[in-house]
Amino acid sequence: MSGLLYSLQELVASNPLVRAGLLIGFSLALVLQIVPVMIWLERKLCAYIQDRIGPNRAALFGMIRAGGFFHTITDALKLLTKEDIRPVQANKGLFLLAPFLVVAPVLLTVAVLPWADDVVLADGRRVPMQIAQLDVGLLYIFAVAGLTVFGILLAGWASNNKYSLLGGLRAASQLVSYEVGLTLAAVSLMVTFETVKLEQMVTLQEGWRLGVVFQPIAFVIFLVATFAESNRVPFDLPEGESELVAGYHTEYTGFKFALFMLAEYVHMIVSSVVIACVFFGGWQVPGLPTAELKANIVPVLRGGLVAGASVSILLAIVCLRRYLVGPHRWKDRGDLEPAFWGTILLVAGAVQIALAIAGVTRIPADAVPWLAAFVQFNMLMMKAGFFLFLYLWVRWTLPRFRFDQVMRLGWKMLMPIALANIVITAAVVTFGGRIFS
Amino acid sequence: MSAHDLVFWIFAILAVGAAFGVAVSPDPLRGAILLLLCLFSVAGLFAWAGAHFLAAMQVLVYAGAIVVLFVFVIMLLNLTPRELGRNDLGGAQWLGLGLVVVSMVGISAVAFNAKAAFPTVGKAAGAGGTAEIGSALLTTYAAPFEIVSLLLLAAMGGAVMLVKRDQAGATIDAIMTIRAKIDARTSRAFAPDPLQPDQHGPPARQQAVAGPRSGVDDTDARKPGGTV
Repeated sequence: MSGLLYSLQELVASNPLVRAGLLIGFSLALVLQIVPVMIWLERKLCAYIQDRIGPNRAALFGMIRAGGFFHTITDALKLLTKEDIRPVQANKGLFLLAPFLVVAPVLLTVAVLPWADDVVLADGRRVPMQIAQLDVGLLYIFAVAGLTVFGILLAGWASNNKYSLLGGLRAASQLVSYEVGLTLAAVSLMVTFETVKLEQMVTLQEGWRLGVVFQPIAFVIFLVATFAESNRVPFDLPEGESELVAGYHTEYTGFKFALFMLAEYVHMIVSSVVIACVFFGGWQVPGLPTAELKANIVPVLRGGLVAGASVSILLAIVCLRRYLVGPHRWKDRGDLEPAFWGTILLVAGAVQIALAIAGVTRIPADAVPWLAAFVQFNMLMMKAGFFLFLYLWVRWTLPRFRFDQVMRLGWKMLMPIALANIVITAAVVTFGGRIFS
Repeated sequence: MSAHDLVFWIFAILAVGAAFGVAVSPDPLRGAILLLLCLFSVAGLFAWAGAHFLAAMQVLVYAGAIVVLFVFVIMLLNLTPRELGRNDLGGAQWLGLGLVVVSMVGISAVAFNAKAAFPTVGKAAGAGGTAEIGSALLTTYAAPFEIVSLLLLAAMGGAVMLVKRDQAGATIDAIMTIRAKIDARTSRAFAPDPLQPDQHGPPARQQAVAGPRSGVDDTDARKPGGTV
């Protein structure tokens, strides 16, 4: 077993193509797996915000409803098997091309996200936990993400439908307007960090020196602009159902429609990871730089396991209590579900406690860097998870803007503020001394 | 041919082919998409040569902003093939192709017979890096850089002046004049159908796109004994 692991480590460290390939597989699998979870959370959160119960009908064996999670899976199956309709007067080639032009650039941006610090092996070789460490870093994300405009414009135009065309034009003008604010906010970040590389920005935010502390205004602009870029409420005018039916994807059905949805959610995930990386230290565990993390890996893992176990056991108590004294409202096998999940959570909690007591006492020295990377990856996911939650929270809390309000916010507020922020940042860095160095 | 060379040839052929397609494409939107492909391939060539910053800027500025503007204008005008008229360059495209081939052959001949090897651009020298370009622009080439930015600022001011509210009317008038000219040309070229007495002015735009379908329905309705 350990021999196999060593040969795998050797392969990854010596062959950059194998490393990149494995990371591409990992990143895409991760991002695409978060999408159904996000859709499920969106429905469930929306329901709770609106004081409803939300989806909970689809069940496995008539028992396991998993809070309506299977609705997402059945949705995906439905979208895959639905009839693929193309309007008679649509432009054939462009109608087919548009969804792919939307989804491909968004998936390409995953290439520069740093999932963890470089893993330093015993012989001093570094294994980057990032598909490509490009010289242009953040600029790559802006450049590639900007290409989704074409997909949206073409989708609106090729459908040969007035609503679609209006939606496409709105989406494009919105994207182009907010890209200005986004890029200018990023310029002040680049001045602060004195680099454009995402991985270096994260490395510089050691301890509690987070980007948001030095660039709070850029953070606000960045957040607003990424909301607008991913066409989410309050900026979802391109698909405003009260005016434009469904905007640029009115005529799309089945899997092509699913591609538009996929692009929107992947865009949200990538934006959340980027915000976590540039403003909240990415994979940095607050107060614990990589070296200290490696030195204290046993207490850190123990703490994580104990925290996980307490959450599991707390949820288990809630579930089991619901089964024992609950209302049993379905009067069928569905009533057994809390007992099912409660048992699983109890077992999971017990396993985590057992691991915390006995499992992590003797860790081989070669495993330490990998475990540290694992901890850092979890840290990044927690930070990004908060922003994903924020996306959903805002969507079901705020009403939609009017289009002139969107344009005014983008051009007359965000852009001047971002420009002033650049001037102030540059003045501080020039006369007041460098911030990160 | 190594894999490294193969990447170059793929991007080079794509760039030249797409550029030719832009020149001869009868459909303006298809031309814009091919232009996007061409610019993207050139960005690929920059990345291949190690100039990552240039590649990113090519995609960000040209593909992400300028071609978007082209597509925007094409979609807003939304001219039908009839309004565009015949794309007759009078054989100019073949002359263009000939010129391209001749110049390519000439450049290749010079390149392959050159005594000295071309200087290798790239990673070894550290050229093309974001940091190098940044420091060069703000130290050695600070004056030209500032002059160019001043020029861009003036252009931006000009654009703002053009769309100021009191001048916007004149701009819209100009656009409407062009629109009216196009409509007049279309209506001259396609005289009203005597079988359809209710026609006034140029045919409706939707009918122009829809082709024969709407016409067939109308004539059917007027035939004696036709189903109404």
